[in-house]
Amino acid sequence: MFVDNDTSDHELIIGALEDVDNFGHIIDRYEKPLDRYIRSISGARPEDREDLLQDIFLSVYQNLRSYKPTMKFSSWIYRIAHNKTISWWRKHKKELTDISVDEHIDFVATLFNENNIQQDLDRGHVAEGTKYALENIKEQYRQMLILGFWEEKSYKEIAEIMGSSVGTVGTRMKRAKKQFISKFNDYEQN
Amino acid sequence: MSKIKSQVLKDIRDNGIKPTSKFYFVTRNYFFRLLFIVSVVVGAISFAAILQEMIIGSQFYKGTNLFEAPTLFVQSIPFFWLLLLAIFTGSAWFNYKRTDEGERRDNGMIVLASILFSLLFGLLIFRIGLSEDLDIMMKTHLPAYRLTAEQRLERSANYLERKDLNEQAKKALLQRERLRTLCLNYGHQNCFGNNSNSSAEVKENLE
Repeated sequence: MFVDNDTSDHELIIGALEDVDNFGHIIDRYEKPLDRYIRSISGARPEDREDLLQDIFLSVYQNLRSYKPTMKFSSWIYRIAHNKTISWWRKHKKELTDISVDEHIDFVATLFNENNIQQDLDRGHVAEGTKYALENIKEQYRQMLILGFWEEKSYKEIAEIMGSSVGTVGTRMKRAKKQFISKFNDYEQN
Repeated sequence: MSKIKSQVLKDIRDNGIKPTSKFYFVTRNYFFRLLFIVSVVVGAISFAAILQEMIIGSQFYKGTNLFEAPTLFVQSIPFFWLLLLAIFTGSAWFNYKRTDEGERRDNGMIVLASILFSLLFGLLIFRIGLSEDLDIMMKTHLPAYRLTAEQRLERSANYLERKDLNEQAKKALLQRERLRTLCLNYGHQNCFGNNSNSSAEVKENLE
């Protein structure tokens, strides 16, 4: 099966159901984004992420016929990844360890701009401040911020991934931002 | 080829893993929808039974004052049915959440909707008199259930006997005697803890 960037997810699914080798194209498309997402919400080590990703893709393959086009395929696959990662994280409760400084600067700067907060962002402190804030806000809020800002998912997609309504996502996102800023400022003051 | 990709494809081939059939997912979806409906119906029956018990118990506190009424109200709550309503509301949430539609709904809305449906159907069951039939049937065939109902009535009656016995309380005791008579008419020996002679005596004294 010939695949390029224009091949739709729907075509990839049909191809995978016809021939298992075509499932490899789905893995190619989603391996890196899911790896990034798993790392963001769980801070899992590379070897643990490998195991998780294998488990996730096996689950995706087994449940391929349950997918319905009422939801974006990326939301569906993220939902599986999200649920499996959260289950794993609750058993292991690892510390968040692997967060890029560049992502922090954009993320934190965007949050502060949205809330009209002027702050000089010391690059060196941002990584630690963000790690502290993300570790100390509610788990659900952390997931929402990562999905919204790092994975750049829309509220509709976040609702589909987390299994709630768009309205609820909007409300929780506001609270998530507020809590993050508060914890970040606590870190800065201490 | 990435390590993960090669490992996943190898696992699929070596273990003969195949995508689960669509029939399974459709059946599963209908199964959980059915369980949701059953949970709501049982919740409705529970609510109707609660209403029935509260109506019986309300005879005691209609004529009472503000201090007595709350105590009597709490004493008349049938906690068994309340617990059943709570359990089946939880069951309704669990089952609906596993359907395709339920995946995308908020937990709070699902719980609220199942409680509302149970309350509405429960009211309907109560209005058409099915709850009274159920109440009598359970009191005549289930000794443990009858005992708890009687204990509830006894507590309310004893509470009021410590006060001045008012007209409403007398009516409630008569109601208890009516139920005892019905129970005896079904051929049970030990209805509401006593035999028919003392029922007649009680009635005479009250009237």
